[in-house]
Amino acid sequence: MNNLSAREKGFMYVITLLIIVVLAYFFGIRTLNKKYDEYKVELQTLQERKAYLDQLRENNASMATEIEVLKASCSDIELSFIDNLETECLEQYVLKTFETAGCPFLTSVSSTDIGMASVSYPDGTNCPDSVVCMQIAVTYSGTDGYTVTQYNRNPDFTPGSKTPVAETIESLSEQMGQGEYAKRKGYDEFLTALKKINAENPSCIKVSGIVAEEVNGIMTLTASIDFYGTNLKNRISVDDSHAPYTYWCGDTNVDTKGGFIGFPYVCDNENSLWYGVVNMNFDPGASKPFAAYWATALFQQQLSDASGDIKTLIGFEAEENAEPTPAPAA
Amino acid sequence: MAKANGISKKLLAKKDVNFFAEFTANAAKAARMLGYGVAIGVLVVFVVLTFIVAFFIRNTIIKGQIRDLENTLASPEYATLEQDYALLNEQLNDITNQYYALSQMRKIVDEIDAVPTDLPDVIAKCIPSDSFIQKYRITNTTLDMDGYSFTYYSAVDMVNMLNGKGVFASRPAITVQRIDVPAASSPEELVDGSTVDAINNYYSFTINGLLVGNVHISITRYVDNPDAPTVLGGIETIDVRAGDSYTINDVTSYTYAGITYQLTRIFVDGYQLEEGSMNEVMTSGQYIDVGRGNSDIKLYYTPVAASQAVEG
Repeated sequence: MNNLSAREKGFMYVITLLIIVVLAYFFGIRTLNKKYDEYKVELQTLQERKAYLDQLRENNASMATEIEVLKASCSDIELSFIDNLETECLEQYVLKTFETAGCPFLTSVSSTDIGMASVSYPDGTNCPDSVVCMQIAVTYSGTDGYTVTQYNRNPDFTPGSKTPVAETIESLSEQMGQGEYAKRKGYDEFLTALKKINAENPSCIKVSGIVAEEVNGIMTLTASIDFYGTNLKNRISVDDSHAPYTYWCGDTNVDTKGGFIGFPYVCDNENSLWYGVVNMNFDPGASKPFAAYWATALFQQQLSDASGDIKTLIGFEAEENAEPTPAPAA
Repeated sequence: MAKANGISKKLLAKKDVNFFAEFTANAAKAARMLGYGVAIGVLVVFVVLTFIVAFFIRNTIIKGQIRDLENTLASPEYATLEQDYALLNEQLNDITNQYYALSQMRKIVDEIDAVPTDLPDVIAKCIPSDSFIQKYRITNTTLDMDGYSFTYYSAVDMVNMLNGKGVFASRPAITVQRIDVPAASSPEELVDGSTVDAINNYYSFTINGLLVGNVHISITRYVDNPDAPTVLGGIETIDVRAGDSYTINDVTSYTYAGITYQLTRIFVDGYQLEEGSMNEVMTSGQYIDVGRGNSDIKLYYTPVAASQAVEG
């Protein structure tokens, strides 16, 4: 080294410096820069991911809000239908509405399950949920403005009535064409009841048909009322509404002591309101598969001897004080 | 000038002669150069080191940022976002399907009109005094009446009055027929006026017509993807009086679950809206039509670009 001239030393110095710079660049600066670039890319990726996740979080919040909104909307729609269509509740409601409106003379009432269109999902697959429709058809009669009326044992003509039947009939027979019986009733009351039903819950109770017809001087009035409900597998809402058609509003403590199966020649069940009533479908000549041939013939002969009075033949005598056991207090 | 050994005598006379001056000057210069060199070297090394340190610090900072971001992304706030998204997306699909099905049920029932129970009162006010209705039948779309009158104008008078009250949607069918004399009537009965037929000829009539009612417009929004039909919300149903116009506002864009969609196509009762009409809708932002009958409108949308990127 000592043999080198100053120029050579300087040259060596410069070379050394250059080597230091080059080495510093290659092993320091360049590596650090390269790392920095990698970090920058990594940071950018992470920032993009964070931005994506931030957006995702906003989306999640929007979706959660939308889900809640949709749940509320689903719930609203579910509650716009009748939760549980029970035929007896619907018929009881309809009959009560007509009776309350002053139209009690029922000719017939019937219920029919109406088939509804099936429901599908957006992709066309069938939805297990469905709309249910129960149609209640009623036919009522108007009055003729003369004849005494009766419905639901009102007035009571059964053998067990508190007022003797003959007395009631005598009293009413004098009122034929008088007072309230002189008014033709039924039509206006029928329309009043229909308007009330139509306005009760327009989204799920709809009057679907009205027929008014005069036959033999009296009006026959028919209406079909459709009740719409749903059959839902995954219900969101809880229906705690208490509309008169969604739950039983009729009697809950009905007297059942006098009910019986199979009408004999004369009803001898003292608890029954039919007590003492002769079988309306009694046919003396009808086949008696349990009886001997001669016994059937003898029966007819004996009935004839009793002037056709089955009560006399079988020796039926109604108990004087026989009256149905009153229904327990509700 | 005289010189001694090449040195000016004048100069020799003024100063001491330094025979090494030339060498010491070179050494000083060399030392100065060395100093410069060292300074430059130190400077270079310093600069290099400064760069290295600066870059190292820069890298440390960015590494810190990366670490912070990684920690942030690994935090519970962010870690489950994608799973949450998938779960919410599934829930949204399920509830959307459920809402679609329920709104379809609502549509089925809403499209069934109830019988107008005030119509019997309207009919009662339109019966001429020479007439009576023996039977009428009202459904949610039709009115049929049978009656009798002394003149053959009464049925048409009645329909005219009913039309004046906006009862019929179209021209009703009217039939009037003279009632023949009952075959069992005796001449005496007819002459002495004991039967109504003898006093006046009379006529039976029937009137059958379609009732004015509402039409129901159902609107459903879909994502415009024929491969995977996705519904946006449920079915909206609007009731319009038959013959009246209706407007669906703000149809060109729709925001659902935080994503904004752009209208692409409109189908009305299965037919695609032609380009001219579609352009009008896109310009005005409204769909306007007249309620002629029950109608099913399907609006197809695509997500706008920004939202689509996020979806991806």
